[in-house]
Amino acid sequence: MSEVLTLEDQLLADFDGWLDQHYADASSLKAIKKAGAETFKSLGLPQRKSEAYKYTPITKTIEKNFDIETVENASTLTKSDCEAKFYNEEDANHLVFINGIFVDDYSKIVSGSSDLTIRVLDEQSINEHPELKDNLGKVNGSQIDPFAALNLAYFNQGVFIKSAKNADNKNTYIYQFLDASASQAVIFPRVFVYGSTGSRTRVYEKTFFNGDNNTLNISIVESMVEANAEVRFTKLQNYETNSYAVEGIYAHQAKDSRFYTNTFSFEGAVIRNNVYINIDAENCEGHMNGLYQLSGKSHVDNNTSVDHLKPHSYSNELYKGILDDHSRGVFNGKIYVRPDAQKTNAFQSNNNILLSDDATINTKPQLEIWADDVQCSHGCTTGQLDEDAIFYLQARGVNKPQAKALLLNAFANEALNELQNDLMKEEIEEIILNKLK
Amino acid sequence: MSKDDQILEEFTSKEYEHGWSVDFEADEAPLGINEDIIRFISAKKEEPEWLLEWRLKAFKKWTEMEEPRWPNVKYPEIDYQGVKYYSAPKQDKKPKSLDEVDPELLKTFERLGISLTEQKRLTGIAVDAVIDSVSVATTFKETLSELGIIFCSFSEAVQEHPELIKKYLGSVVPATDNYFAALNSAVFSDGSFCYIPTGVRCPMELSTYFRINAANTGQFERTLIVAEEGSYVSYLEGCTAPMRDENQLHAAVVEIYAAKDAEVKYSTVQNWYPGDKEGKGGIYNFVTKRGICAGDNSKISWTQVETGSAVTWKYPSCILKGDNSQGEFYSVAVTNNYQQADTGTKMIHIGKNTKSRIVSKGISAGKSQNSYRGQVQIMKRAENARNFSQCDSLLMGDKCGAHTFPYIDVENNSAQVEHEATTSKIGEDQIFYCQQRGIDEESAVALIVNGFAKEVMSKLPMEFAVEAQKLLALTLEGSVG
Repeated sequence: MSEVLTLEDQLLADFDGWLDQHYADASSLKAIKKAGAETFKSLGLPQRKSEAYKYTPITKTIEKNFDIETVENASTLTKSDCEAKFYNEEDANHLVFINGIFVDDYSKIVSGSSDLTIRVLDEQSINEHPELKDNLGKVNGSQIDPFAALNLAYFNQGVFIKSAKNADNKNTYIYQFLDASASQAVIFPRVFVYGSTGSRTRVYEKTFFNGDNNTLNISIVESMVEANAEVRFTKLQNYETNSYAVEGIYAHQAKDSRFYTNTFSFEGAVIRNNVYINIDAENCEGHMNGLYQLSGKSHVDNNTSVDHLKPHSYSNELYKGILDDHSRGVFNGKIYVRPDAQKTNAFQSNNNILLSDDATINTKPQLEIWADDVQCSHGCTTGQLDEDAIFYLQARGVNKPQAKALLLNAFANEALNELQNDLMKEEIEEIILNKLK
Repeated sequence: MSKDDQILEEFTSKEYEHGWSVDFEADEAPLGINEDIIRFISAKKEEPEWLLEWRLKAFKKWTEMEEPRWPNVKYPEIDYQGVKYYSAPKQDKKPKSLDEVDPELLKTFERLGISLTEQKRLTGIAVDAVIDSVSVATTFKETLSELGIIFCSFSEAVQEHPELIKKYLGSVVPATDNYFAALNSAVFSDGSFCYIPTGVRCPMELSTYFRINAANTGQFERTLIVAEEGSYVSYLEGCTAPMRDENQLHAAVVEIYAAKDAEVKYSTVQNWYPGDKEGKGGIYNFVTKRGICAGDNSKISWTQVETGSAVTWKYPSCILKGDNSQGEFYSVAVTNNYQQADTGTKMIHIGKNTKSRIVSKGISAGKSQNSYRGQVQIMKRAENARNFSQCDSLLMGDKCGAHTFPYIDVENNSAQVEHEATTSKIGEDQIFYCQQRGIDEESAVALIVNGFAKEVMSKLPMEFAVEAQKLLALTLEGSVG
């Protein structure tokens, strides 16, 4: 009788050998990774009826499309290839990932080491930085999701970014290069951002494709935001129409801190974003913004949660979607207000425009509130452009397609309000406009 | 805050006024559920073979199903073998007229404020009263039958109008729809049946009154309303139960069928025993209610005031199949002490130009948990569908919870769907404003709560609105957020 391997088993089949090859027995990373694999095994992949992945049958997708094997960096990309793609900002840090692995040599770091620490996330950096060692794989229960646990097991050379106390740091760009050598494979980039007390950290991530490939990108960002610190993490996901991704952002906030995250998604076969913020202290601000502008058969699922555990905090969430052709957008936003979290103000809004008969939106804004002295609201709309507004523009000599584009552009732009980076803003505005043509 | 505490205390210590029980001889089935029990019930009711088959099929499916765990409620395992599935007040024979009905029974209904006798003619409501599992009396039959309206107990309908029952039973809520619907389909004992023929506007409110009396019994009634082309009916449902320490199960099914141009208005004031202050006892209210707007331009409207039950699990839904059909859902759900409610609606838009409106007001006090769970689904061919949902929650006290789980699925680009929800407590400034104008704190809270629920209350038929307002006042007057 032949044994039928489950997908979970297949994913972990070569794990032990791979681990022994890369990590010494006594290393602390080995233990962490082993634990990650165990967690993944016990969680299992989301099944058909799993509520969290209800509209995104990710397991089936993986089964159908991927030969599971971890890739070594066999890329032919050179340093200058990468540099050519950098944003034109001299006074910023540029970090390069190729196929999910952080490449120190290709990166360009301008910040002084007294302000900003950027290290390969490996055994050495773990042992030198207790804040990393203590929190890696633990920020805001980042192992609740099976893909986060799988990333913990398999990530190889992520990046550790730490802002020193009271340092106001320059922009840091992360470029995720994916090339043909990673085709049909699963990659596991990992980023850990530590904002020390009173510091400011701004990270902008962007994905590049070199050639046609259908990589599955299982990426994790963990962020600890200490007292009075501010961390901004922005993602520009311009995937190819045949790429797959499950990306997680897990943040933990201490007293008086601020955390901002922006996610801009354009295309992708199946893209799933998990954004989870844990507000575990008073006077915090948590912001989540997103835009998904999809066409073709793209499928983007934004799953977000903000958990208010302590009083006097504020959270705000705004996701906007424009869906064309056969695309599908999924939004699930959760707000939890725990019994102690009195005086919480939490707001959430999700607006969608469907441009075609075949586009679908599944949205589930969710409030769970156990404290009485709070102000919470969510709103959610799905509709089309206002005919009157189009007519108004037409009456003034703007033709119909242009009028529509103008209105859609205005609709989308609201999601850009929190983005404090002109270079990236310009680029995103251009993408939006191009897609509206 | 001591005043608040005092008022809260008063409110929470209010007793359930329908908590008495009456001893009448009852005809009961033994504890537990199996095929023999189902045969026993079916035989008691002298049902035709096809109905027994239907029940047995549902039972078989039920045994294969799992009890749903997704609602946001917690309760101990239910021992389905520890429940009596049939209990009927003993009557030697079916009463021909009200004079023959057991006087003890009539007294019971007098106490409930539901007079089955002539007086009711003054208010003009036809009542079908169901005690435990059996319909005991239906008033105004003759007046209604002159118009061709059939309004009778379910078992009577099975005997007298089998063709209608056969046609519509399970057509909206299939026997195997969900765990509790399957259980109900297997063991339902009675309920109401209402048929409005083509073009008839029912001249009076039809009403069913449910009461669980016997201990250890579950109540499994089934209501079926069929509104033929161009007809109209307004239907009321009320319920109470005695105070008992153990939990009792109530798993009902309501089906509404609306043909072309028909309109059905279904109003519920649910006041099952909610359990005591410690959360002991109370009814488990697991109900499946669904209506189908099968014909064009039809309309179904659900209005509910939920104040009772230990655990409520109920989603009155509308399937908007006909073009231009409309669905409405208005709900006030009040929970106190250890009550838990997970309630909401489903609006499935299939036809063109369909409209739905959801207004849900949740009020939680004490240590209760109140959830709204709803789904709005716009199918691909539902051109120009329109939905508006509003879910507001009011929290009183810092130990309770209010939750919202809306699912919105849109597959048509001409649809317009809006959803909004808010959660807050009664503002101190609002109370202060009232106090400044000479309204004491208690009245101020009552005023604000009433205003909060007004949009729903105003949808209730007059006769019910009075009762509902009284209930709301009884449950919430004076509680302070």
